[in-house]
Amino acid sequence: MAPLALGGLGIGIMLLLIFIRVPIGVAMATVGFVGYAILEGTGPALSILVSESAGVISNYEYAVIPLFLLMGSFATAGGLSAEIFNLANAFVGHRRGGLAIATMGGCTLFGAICGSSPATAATFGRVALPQMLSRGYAPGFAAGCIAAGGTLGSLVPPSIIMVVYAVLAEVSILDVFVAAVVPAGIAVLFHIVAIAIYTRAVPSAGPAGTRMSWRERLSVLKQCWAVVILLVAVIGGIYGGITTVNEAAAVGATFTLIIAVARGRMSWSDFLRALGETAGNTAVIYMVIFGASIFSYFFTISGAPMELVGRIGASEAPPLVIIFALLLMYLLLGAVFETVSAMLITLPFVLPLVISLGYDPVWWAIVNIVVIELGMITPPIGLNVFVLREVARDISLSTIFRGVSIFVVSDVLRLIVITVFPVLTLYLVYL
Amino acid sequence: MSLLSRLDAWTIRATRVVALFGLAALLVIAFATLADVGARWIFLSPILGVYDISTLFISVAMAACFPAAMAERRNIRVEFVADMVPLRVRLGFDVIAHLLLLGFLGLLAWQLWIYTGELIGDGETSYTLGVPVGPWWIATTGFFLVCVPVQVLVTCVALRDLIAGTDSTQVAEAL
Repeated sequence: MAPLALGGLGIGIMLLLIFIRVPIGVAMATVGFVGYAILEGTGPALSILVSESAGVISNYEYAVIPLFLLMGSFATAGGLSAEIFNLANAFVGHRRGGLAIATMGGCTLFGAICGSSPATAATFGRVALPQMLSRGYAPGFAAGCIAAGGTLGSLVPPSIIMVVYAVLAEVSILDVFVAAVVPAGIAVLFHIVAIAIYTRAVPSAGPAGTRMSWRERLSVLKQCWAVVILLVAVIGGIYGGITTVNEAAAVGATFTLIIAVARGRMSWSDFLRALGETAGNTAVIYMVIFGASIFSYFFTISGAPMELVGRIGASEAPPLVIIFALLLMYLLLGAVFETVSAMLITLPFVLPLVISLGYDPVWWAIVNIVVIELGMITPPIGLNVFVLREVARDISLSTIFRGVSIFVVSDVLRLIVITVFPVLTLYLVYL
Repeated sequence: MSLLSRLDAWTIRATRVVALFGLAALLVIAFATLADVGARWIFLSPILGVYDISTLFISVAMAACFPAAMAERRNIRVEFVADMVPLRVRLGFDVIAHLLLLGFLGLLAWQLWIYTGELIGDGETSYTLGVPVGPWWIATTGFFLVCVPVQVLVTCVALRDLIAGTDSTQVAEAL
């Protein structure tokens, strides 16, 4: 069978299994194992199965996933999200749309602690939404703002999806974190501009609050000492070269636990719940990584990636056109898959193609995350929107989707900018 | 409540305890790493072997999370196609999914058993402290072996649901 047909058949069977509710990791592992066994024999396939799974489970780099998950759970229980929001609100809450801007700022800082998009949206849905609604913000705009802000949880390093990409693509986790800095800044800037434009056009959607004096602002800042220490320890540790990413994750998890316990905000049952949630989420993520690793072996040995790269190279289509076609594919995939799955399913054939076009895999990490995060706020899946709907049951889904639409426009513009100008992503990496 | 359902509920509780121990072990690693970073930064002298022990702990801690995830039916899967088909067809899909997962776990546990045997036979040790890695992999493999009967039970529950035409997955959600 021709390589491309074989690879395509593998993908087709994998999608069929996924559509009949087979867990995504299991579907990838099954097709990968059976495909590899057909091509190379059962012995080598069993060898791949155990070597990949044992390699993943004993990989110290992957331990950052549960550690960052723990840090997010402890930070939420310790009330750090409320402090972050209050801090941002103290400085910009008096402006028109100020609470929305404070939410974006809060999501950015909390994203640096939490590392997960839906978790950031859920947390700020509980912290910021009641305050925005009580100040007369339009419900759709307020909820849309938080759903969009939540996506910053994955884009602001450290981020779990970045860790997964980096390990599977065999690029440095630190490089991906550094690459995300400017795009995350652009994301915040574009969202703030979107808020400013929208609240200028519809002033009643985001009325201004009262201005705090500098004395009050400093008082709020003082109350946020724990957040400041945490951010300095985690982000400063990573970028200052004091700690590795793993060590920063360990430091962050222990700091947030100590803070939450010291403040008396974490009961024994909260602690057990945080551990239980993290254990479940960790196993789920590891399962998908097992599957993706095994599937990658089959897909590579099928020869399909080389064939695909060769054919697309022979088509003489400009690289940027191919990249935009890939982005379109991800937008369509976003209608069916949640983010990590969309990335892992496509990585075996997309990454070789992107590299063959002359693009940097670190740059692609960021572009890929931005495009699949767009799927978090667009119908029909729009996971963050559903998370907000769970938090605020009296706001309809259509209202939230309408509210988030201005941020979708802002996200699409940002995606175009970072796609067309890779230097924005890579400048700090190769500085 | 039937015997199968009671067993299902008990398994969920028992595997959760195992997972908590795994995550507690991860927290121990985190505290040790914090101490290591502190010692390196303040006293310019890292604690010997923290990295070494951490890498051994990791595989055990992560493997301990799996039985609970299997018992609780935690997975990333696409629901929208199954939502469009009749209940019994969806329950049939679930049986297929659980059988495939059982096959995967069975193969993995079997191969890890062999792999661990090889590690013990070769007398492999950690890089810095020279700690034998075999016992750690026995624990890791043990957790994956536990996943197999847990998944057998989950598959039996799915099969019973298919025969009865009812969905009892809320047992896992309710606990």
